[in-house]
Amino acid sequence: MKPRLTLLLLLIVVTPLAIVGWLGAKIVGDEQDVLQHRVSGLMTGQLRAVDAAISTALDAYQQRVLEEMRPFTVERDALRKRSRESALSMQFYVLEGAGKLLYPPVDSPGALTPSEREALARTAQIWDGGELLASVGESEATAETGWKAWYWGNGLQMMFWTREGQRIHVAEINRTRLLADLIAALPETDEVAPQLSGGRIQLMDATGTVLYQWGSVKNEEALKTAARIALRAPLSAWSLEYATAEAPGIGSVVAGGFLLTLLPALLLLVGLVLGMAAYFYREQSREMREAAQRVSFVNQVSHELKTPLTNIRMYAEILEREAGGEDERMSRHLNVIVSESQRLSRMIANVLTFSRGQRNALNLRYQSVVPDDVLRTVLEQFRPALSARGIDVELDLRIGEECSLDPDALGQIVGNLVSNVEKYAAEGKLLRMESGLDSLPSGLGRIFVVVEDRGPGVPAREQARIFEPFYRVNSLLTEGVSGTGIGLSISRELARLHGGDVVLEAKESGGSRFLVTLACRPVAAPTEGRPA
Amino acid sequence: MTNQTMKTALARIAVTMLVSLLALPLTMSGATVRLNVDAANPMLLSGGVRKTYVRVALTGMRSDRGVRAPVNVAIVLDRSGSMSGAKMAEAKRAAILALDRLRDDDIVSIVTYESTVDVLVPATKLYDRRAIRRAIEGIEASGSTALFAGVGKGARELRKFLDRNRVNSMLLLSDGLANVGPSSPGELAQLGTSLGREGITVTTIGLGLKYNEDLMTRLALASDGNHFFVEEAEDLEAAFATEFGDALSTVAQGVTIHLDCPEGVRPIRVLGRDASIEGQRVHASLNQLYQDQTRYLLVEVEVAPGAAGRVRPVANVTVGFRELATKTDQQLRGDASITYTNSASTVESRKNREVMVAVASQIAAERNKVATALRDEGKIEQAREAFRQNKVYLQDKAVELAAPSLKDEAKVSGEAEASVADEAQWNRARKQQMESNVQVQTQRAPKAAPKKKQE
Amino acid sequence: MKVLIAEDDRNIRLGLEEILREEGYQTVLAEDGREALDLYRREAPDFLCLDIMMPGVNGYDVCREIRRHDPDLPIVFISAKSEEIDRVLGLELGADDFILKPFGVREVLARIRAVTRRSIARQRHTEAPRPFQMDDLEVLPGELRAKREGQTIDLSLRDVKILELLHRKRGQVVDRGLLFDECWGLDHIPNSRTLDQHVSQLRKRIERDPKEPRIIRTVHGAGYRFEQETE
Repeated sequence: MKPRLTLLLLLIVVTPLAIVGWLGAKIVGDEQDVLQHRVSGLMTGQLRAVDAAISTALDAYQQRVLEEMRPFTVERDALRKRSRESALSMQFYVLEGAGKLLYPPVDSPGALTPSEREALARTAQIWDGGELLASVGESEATAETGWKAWYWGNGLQMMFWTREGQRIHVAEINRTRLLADLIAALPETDEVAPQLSGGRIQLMDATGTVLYQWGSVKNEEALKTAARIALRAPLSAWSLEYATAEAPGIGSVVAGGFLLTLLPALLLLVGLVLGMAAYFYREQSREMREAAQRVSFVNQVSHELKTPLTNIRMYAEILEREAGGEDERMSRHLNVIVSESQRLSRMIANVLTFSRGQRNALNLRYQSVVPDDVLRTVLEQFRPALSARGIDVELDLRIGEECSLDPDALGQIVGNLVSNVEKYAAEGKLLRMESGLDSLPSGLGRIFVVVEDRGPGVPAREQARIFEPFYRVNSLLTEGVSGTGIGLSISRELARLHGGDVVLEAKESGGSRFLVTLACRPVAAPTEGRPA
Repeated sequence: MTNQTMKTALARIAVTMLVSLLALPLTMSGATVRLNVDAANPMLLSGGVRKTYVRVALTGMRSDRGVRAPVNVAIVLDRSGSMSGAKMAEAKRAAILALDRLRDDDIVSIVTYESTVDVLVPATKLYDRRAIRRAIEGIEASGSTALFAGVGKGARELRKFLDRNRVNSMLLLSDGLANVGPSSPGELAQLGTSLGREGITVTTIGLGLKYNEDLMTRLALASDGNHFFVEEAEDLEAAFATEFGDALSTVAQGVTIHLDCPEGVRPIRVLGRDASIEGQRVHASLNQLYQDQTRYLLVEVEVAPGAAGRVRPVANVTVGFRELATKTDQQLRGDASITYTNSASTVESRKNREVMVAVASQIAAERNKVATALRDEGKIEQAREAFRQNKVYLQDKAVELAAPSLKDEAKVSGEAEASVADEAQWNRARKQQMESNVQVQTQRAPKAAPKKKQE
Repeated sequence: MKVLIAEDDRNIRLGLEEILREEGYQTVLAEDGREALDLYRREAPDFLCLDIMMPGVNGYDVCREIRRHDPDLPIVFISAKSEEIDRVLGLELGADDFILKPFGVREVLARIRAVTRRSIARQRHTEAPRPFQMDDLEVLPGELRAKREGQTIDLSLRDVKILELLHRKRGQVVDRGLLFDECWGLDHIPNSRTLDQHVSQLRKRIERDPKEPRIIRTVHGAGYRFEQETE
């Protein structure tokens, strides 16, 4: 009886646990597969971007070589001088249409200089077999320039040719210099810290030897190839690889390990507690991870985003000015484009500030400005968005004199606060902004800006955490509101750098009230420059 | 004043004038650079084809302006795992001390490399020294050695402010074998050539006994830079100091030398330096010229027969350079000629001692290379004999030409001779050998004697 | 006033051109550093808008090269990276101002006007544009500003030209043709809508009551006129 009871008990406890465990493991597994797939897509995308960068650098090299080859000449002394002085090419050659070398003077071997003789020995295969001519012939008849790659000595050698009438002018590229220039155009490890966390990109030659790599990794041995592409022509023998050191999934540890130990009751309890903890941890950390991923993504693309964004914003504003407010519907639509592009600008600025902050690379640039003008400009940007959500603005601005401070920092700090009102506190229908200047006995000044709303406010237990990066008050209200979750953290960081702070002040009746303080220097004694 | 003393004084003045007039075609001097063109044998034996050497010597003069040219320097540091500990600490200290010698308007960049590369300080003026110092102090060693990429990135930083009126140089430190990216001496030499043509000089410092001296010396030679073998980390400071001392005393750069041989004279080869011979012309270039230092081009020429008493011009030289003090392009001209004689003893007694010292030095450097190659092939005995002969050659020349500098070079050959058999000793001797060769070939300063360590 | 815009993105280049032309500047465009140096030598611009990251010769190099010839020429840098701007300042290339991408029209105008003011002040010893009064508005051409009762109104270069012309011809009708020739220049295609719009925008800023203009009055079928009543 007793053993059967134990067995039954065991069955009752173990079976659901096993099922839960199996399901859990499967879900985690599936999720990882999906994630894996998505990640490798992202990586390939990154590699393509690198390939494009290499291609651009190669184009630039080509352009400079072409400049060295001009004006076209067959004059021996001029070509010798060029070959002697060129930093990009080893030797120049000129072919006549039928493939015969006009320079170096192969017809009179006695006239060859030692370096010309060496060059001809090096490239004999190309001239004797008519390979270059063949390659020129294969290219489109309209092509004016092209590359010819061949193997000799240390690996891939390259020639760049260009047509001039019946003649073909050729530059034998200094291969190591080209490689050094391509490398110079690629990122360094310290530049990419936030994007490539734990990953490494490697440029490899035809034999799979690493030519250059970047991205810092803890354990080089654990690196595994996660994605690989071949470079585009003419460097198609080379490849790019994305390698990462894989981290074990969080879920699998929890789900897998416990089935082995059979301490039923205790285990069930522990399992439940752990399971819940794991669930919450996973939820929480997934959110954090996703937010961090979003930031990392924006950081990667932000500089590239800026050019199209500039165009969208600038042209929308040009259009807005042209329309001159005559067509109301049109201005409304334009307003949306302008204010949304401004929102995107803000987001990018935040992300970049954040990653610079992480690298201790934040700098302030002091200028003489009227702080109220800065505040008005910020509000002006938000005007369409605020009025669309029915939020009235109440102003009490009192810093009409010039101060020395960083207007971009002030704009960014206050912009983030106003943006939060627009996103989270629209139901209060009011935004109040107040500004003022305190003179301190030291002669330094301190400005303060209050941003206040009548929204739902921040719950007391969350108040301490809202300044942490990626933290978002977890309630129904934040659903459907997108953002990176770093705005407040950045605002505070910037303010502190600026000798001040951002704090959430206690408020009796609903809503929240943020107080920004910044140290500023009096303009009377102009001290342009940055703090040490 | 008596008539007699008056006469003597006049005569003296006349002689001085005459001498300076005579010297004029041979010595031409811009404000900051002096050019001397000399034949090793101003007198040649008549009646046959003869060989001699022509030396084109350029000396940086003391600048009276007292203002040195601004520099644009990239410090490229190895921070691979093998550097950890005292080596890294000394390297950082040497770099920081070197920076103290720079002015605020100089430009510096700092690149570190291990498996990957970091541009620690992108090219910047030295207004914020504290930040730069902090960056250097924060360097930690780990990983492999991506030397090629380090040089590439350093060059990129220099290129941002490449300026003919600035001294553009890179200081590369490595203690190990390059193992990420191109790492053969030939490839690095090719890169060095390219950088040299752009006006960037790469000086290399090999630290300890495990670096590849072929790679480091060829990179330096190809870009007209210096090379130092620093066995003990504590001597890094002296090497940095010498290199910065050179850079800071640069008076001219972008020096081009064109030497034309007239009819009846044929250039055969150039000793020690990369130069191109195109028929009757020789082209060579030097990146920098330092104050109080003489650098030269040495050309072996073949001279057609002539009758005694006949004078034959052997070289017409044009030198162009950027004078840093005035930020202007300058040109100097000079020539050399020989006179035929029937007397062998006159030929001997009129030999130009300085040129002969240079020739001996260059020839010994070439022979040392041959001896080193023999040792590399495992022909130990042949190598020992070659080094011994070279040592004796240099010792003899030192006595014959009363040149103590040759005696020092003989010592280096002697050490090589003594250590060919033992692997560890040979490793050290080979590095010394190569270091000495670079300094002979580029006529650059050996590193300063290390300062006494402070207690 | 002639502005050289060097920027490798075609759309940004053309957009900036449009904004600046609208403001009353002449423009020359370069798509890379080399062309910028070329045009600088050929066209002798009054100031430069210079993108930093351009292919080939970059903005730093262009600036450095130009500073050799003209240490005072106003240069406004454009960049997507604030790090690059830090570098510009750190190197003391003598930037007069900088614009960070992405920028809006208002920001560009504010910076350009500030630089223009400085540039005019720089040339002041040669030819000083004198302040003048239009109704109760004091126009300060050298500062690209007008003042009324202590309030400052920002003006564009073109606004100033228009007001100067109307003031010079006070009491007379200034027809559209003349206004175009003097204030837009010959390279613009005359378009009455452009002109009317500009005037209407200008009125909104300088008139007490834009519906009852006292400074720029419309003379129907002819043009515009300013009447100095107190003189």
